[in-house]
Amino acid sequence: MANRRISSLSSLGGTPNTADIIPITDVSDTTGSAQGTTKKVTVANLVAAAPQGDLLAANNLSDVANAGTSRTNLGLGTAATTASTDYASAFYNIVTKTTHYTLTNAENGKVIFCNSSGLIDITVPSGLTSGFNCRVVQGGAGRVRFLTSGTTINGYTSGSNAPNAVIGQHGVADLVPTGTNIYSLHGDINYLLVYSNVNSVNFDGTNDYFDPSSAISFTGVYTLSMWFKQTTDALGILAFGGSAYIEPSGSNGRVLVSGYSGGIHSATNSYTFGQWSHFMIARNSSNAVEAWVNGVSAGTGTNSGTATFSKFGIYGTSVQPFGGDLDEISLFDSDQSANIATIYNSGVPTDLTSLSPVNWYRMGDNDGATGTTITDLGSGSNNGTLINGPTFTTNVPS
Amino acid sequence: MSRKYVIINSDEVSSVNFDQVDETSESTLRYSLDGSKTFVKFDTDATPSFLDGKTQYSHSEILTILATDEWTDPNPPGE
Repeated sequence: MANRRISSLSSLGGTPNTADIIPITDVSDTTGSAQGTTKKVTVANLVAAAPQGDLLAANNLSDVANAGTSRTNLGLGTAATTASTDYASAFYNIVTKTTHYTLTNAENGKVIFCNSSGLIDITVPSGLTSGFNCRVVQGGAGRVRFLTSGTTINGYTSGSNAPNAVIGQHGVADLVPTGTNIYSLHGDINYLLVYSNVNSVNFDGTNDYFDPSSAISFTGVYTLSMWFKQTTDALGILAFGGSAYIEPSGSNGRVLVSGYSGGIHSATNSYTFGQWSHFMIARNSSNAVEAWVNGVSAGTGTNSGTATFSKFGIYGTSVQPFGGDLDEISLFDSDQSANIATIYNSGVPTDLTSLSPVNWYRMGDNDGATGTTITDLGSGSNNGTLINGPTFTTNVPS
Repeated sequence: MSRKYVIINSDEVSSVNFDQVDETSESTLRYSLDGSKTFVKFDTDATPSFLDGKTQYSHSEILTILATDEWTDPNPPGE
């Protein structure tokens, strides 16, 4: 074939014949008879020299010595273990929890989707990776409570008798780091008081008493509930106001309700000296009054007009003050007679929040059992003072 | 340490340092029925100086004293 210019050659088809060659001339070679050395390059040479294979073909990740490490290093998680295009599990941002759960670093940056009709505790432990953050969502009807374990959630406490941070159904809260083991919560946060009764107040029977800042008065329906353990004298006063008083007599286990009821006197041995007992009195809209001792009706009476409770534990100077322990004093501007079984609770104080007390004196449980102030947890915000040295104790009804 | 009780005459109340006793104030003191006596209590081992030389009672002893007609109405309401 006569020499032809390259530009005069016909073009190849879509696929060259493997036997086709491309001539390469080394023009720097001047030693030959004809200047330059010419070699041939076949199509097979080109295929061998070119990069080849896709991600999941022969020379991909599955061929490396430690495929698991490779996937981890690439942030693929459990993805790419097969020739699949579904990488969702590696980048999935939502994890579902239906029971109490302690966060781990695996939840960093993710959404914790809670789904339960009951309470779910999400505990934030110490030692999570720096910058740990997550979003918590409640899809179920129950509440999600945030607890700490070696950590601090700014503005919130964690545990019993303290305002715990919670979210309700459809609530969303972001847990954001603000320091080492310190976080802030932002979102649909509410408070939840986790009830626990571990303190009461001891009155020495000489001159101790509890004095609400303002006398508590009712012109209509009302209820008084309180727990007492009489230990130091046969007589004493549980509550007093105006000319009315409630007087337990340890010598015969009877409780006299005078002034508040027209005179109710419980049966002999309705309570036991030296043991925790519960007393409740309620007036309904017809001015009918009923008293209960340890959940059992002590009698009925009638009383109208203003009923006042100004002091607890003392009557005046001529009557022996109460000697023993008082706990969980609560007053309602409602007739709670239908709830006597709930309030008495088989002899164990219970959370009264749902009954909406006007005054609720926990007698140390929400005051750290220190100082002389008893905070009113009811809607009345009528704090009281321990007068003449009553002391906190861990002796409680149980 | 145990709480101690001391009976004083009413005219000595002005000498009471209420920072050194458990009583809250002069207005919360409990007096004998004739008003001539009252008492104070303290928790510390060190007796407040204004009570030096006065008889100290234990809890059970003061309860016995306070239950007498001198301090408590022998005909209390109700019983």
